[in-house]
Amino acid sequence: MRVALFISCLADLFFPEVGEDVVKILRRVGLQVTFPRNQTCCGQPAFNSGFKRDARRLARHFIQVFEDAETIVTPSGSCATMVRLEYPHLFEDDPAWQARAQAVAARTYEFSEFLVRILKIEDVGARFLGHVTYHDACHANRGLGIREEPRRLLRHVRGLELVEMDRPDWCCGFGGSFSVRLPDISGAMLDEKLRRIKATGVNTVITTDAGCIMHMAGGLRQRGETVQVLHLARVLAHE
Amino acid sequence: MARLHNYPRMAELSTGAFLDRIRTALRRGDRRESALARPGEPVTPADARVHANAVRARAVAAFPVSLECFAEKLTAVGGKVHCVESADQARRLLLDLAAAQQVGHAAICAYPDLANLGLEDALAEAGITVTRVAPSDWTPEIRQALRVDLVQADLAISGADYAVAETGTLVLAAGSFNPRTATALPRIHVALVRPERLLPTYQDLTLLLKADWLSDDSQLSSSCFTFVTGPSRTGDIEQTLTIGAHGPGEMHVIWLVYESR
Amino acid sequence: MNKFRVSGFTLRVLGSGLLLSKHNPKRETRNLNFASRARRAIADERLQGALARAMDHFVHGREIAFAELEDPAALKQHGRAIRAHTLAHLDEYLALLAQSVQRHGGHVHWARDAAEANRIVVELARERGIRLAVKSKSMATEEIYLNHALESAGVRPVETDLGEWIIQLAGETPSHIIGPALHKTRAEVIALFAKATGRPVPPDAPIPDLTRIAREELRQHFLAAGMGISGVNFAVAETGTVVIVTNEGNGRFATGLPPIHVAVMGAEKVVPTWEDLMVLLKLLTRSATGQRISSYVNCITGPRRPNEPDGPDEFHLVILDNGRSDVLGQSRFREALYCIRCGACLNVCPVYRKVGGHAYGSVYPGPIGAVLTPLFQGLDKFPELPHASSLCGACKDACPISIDLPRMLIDLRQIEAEGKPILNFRFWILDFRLLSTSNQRWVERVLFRLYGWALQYPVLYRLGAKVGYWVQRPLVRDGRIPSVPVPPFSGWTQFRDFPQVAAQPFHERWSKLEDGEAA
Repeated sequence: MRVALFISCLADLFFPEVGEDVVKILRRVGLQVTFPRNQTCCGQPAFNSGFKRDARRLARHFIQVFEDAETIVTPSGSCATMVRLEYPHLFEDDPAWQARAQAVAARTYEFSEFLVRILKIEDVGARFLGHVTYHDACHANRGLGIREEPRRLLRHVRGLELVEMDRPDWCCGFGGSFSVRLPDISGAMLDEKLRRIKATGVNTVITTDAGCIMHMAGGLRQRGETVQVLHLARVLAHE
Repeated sequence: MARLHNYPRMAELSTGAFLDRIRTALRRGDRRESALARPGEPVTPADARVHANAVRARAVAAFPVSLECFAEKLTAVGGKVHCVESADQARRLLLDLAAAQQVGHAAICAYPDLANLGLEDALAEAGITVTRVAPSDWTPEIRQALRVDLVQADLAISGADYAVAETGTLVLAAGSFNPRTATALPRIHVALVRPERLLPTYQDLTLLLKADWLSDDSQLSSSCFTFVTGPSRTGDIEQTLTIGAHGPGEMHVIWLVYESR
Repeated sequence: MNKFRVSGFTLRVLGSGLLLSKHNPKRETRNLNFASRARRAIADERLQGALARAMDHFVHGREIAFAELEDPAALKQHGRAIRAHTLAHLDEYLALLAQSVQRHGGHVHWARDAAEANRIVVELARERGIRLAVKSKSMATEEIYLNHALESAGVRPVETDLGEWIIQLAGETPSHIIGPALHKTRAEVIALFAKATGRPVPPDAPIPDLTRIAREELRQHFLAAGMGISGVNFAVAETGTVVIVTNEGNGRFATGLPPIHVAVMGAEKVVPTWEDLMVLLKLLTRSATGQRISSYVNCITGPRRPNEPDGPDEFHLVILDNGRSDVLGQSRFREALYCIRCGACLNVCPVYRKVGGHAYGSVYPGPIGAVLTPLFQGLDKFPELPHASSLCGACKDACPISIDLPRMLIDLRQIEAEGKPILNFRFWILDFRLLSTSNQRWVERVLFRLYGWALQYPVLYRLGAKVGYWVQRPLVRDGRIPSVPVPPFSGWTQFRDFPQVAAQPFHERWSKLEDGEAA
């Protein structure tokens, strides 16, 4: 099976190693990975801020880039949600584009979802020593119903112990432009999240969205905490 | 378009500008949405009348199970549930409750179900002032006098028109012997209830209410059905649960289980 | 909008609608923006404690109550289907409701807006010489500022829900749909009660004692009041029955003791049948307080019957539009009217949990308030509210009707962003006024246009990545960016570091990986 990787702009620019690990894992399970070079951004930042016209423009670009791909996998729950759930709505008044959007949407998966639901793989042969906790990224969780998939993958990692935090599904406060527009509220939400993480006593937080990583890691570092925040792929690639 | 069945056609009603605006808005809105069908067909009053007897029979058969459920649900919210085996036991229980709570004045809503229990005499013998609310010619003067009595009462005694096991709830219909605030004003409410009043679910209750509604020229028989589940409570100050806000701080249900034999 | 100050009274002339207000604390804080009210709330440790405690209490209760249901998802779906159907046939069900109320001897009044509704209630009081009215908790009457209208007309309204009474004594507005005074501490309540009763209250009075004081004080009002005013949780069209749900029992007194009962309902509160009522009631109490059912559910149909010893001689139902028909006509926002006012979305909203109800500056707070308020009162007056959400979706999940609040928030942001007019029928005139776009929004608009245009071109995207890398370099300390001196990023770095743009983004690393595949 050939899989086209959509890296997502945040991971591309800030966490390129996540992409490398995703490629490594997908190859390890026997897939061929392609990277359509012309990809940029799915348009979610514009969409969430209410700039639908601009989001539509980027959605059309995304569709053109990925239309030929058999399967599209992205290590970002929120980008997968954008493509799967929002693209078809974006073109409600444009049947031709809507059909194309639906076709692409039906073939787009979040990384852990793809492994567990489509490939039926829960053990990717990873080894990672330590106690970790898992943060449910909002869009992956509530948009795509991805709750069990990452946890199953983690439970099969040798040496890893998963410690659940209280309310792992509560928002870390990122919310894209929300964290820039209302930094104080977002910061207070982050505080609460970090308190719950600290209460577990783990040294690693794992999640599936670059936005959450950027937000929680930034908060932890500013508070001088040594807890690290990793994308799921980083742990699964560890041998 | 999904039609409302059995209801009078709306077009004949006086509409006015208010409804016109809503009609205009609905036309402006999504047509697909406007055609939404009714979620499940409601029971018509006519059906209800046919089903009512079956509901009653089923309820009687289910009494032991329903009672257990009722007791569990009501106890969970602070209500007290008792079962008595005889009228004598009912009287004694009531007197014990009254004595424990230092009741000086009791109001009895003269539900027919309570007629043979001899409660009034028993209370009066114990030195308790009794106000009996029975069907009467409710002139403004008599109503005012009753209100004065009800405000002074410590204990309200009633029956129940229905009870619903699903939530541990009593359903009281305001009526000629049951002022709607009589069971709310005193600090204690005791209801003595016959087994056949207990219905497993709200679905059953709905059927019986509808049957009742049809039998009376499309009029509900009472201006007020009150569902009572436990004592009055509030959590408005610092989310601290406090029992006995405006209504009774104690609520007891005495099941006259011997009546089921 | 003209605004005059006249000896303690604020007169606001809005279109042709006239609102008289006397000491309305909300008006005083409206000048501040949402962000600064929120900041103040976050800095208030006492409030933070109260919010966390109350929210956890409500959330936990709801979860337990739903967990014991056999099929909660099916129940929610059923509830939603009922609401969708009812709203799609609202005209018919309202007509049926009115007919049924009248058949049982009640009176029905139609109020297009707040001013009309207030006039109806005030007139009813004035015609009968009523000076004192008791109220049971009602968001609809909060929405129309009925208490101010009554006071201006010389009628004293007394709130009888404990929480509502507390905030009435404090001269505040509710901070939560079902826990109006959850921001108040026991000490504050003690001070308020001492002042209200004119008797000293011990500074260590336990909460049950405070509840008793309220019970004794308010009972006098129940007995003396000439009018009882209530809201309506549901109104059953087939029998004309209004349903009022309370735990304290004040609803039984406010509707049963005074000689006239006036119920004020938003037009969307109608339900077709008793079967529907039972489904929605189940959802309401479980979602609101985690109860299987509230202590008291009063189903009131018309005034006292001749054979009944008590109850009001007159029953009046005021049905309120106040922007609802306008929302009904906008397909993408119609869902907002499905709301049954349980408050569950507030309790799970991470933003509400941090800022509390007052920060919103609106009658309805939280996610549902952030949608309803701009729809009812104009997005131009509340442009910030749709942004008061991280779009985490917890509200939609918690909503017993599964109202898609995040989608509507995005749609409102779009209307504001793209400057399309929102139809506003509110004050009798068709108001097509274009939304004012704040300066920040204007800058944002330019940025997003630029972003949307540039990122269609992979070359520009890659160039941007390079430029970004070089621009941020002077700010990088030890592999991270602890502070960015320019807004809006300076706000971000106040609470968290910024990651640095990778020297070699993934798209540059791919060729090497691709070689790996080939090998």
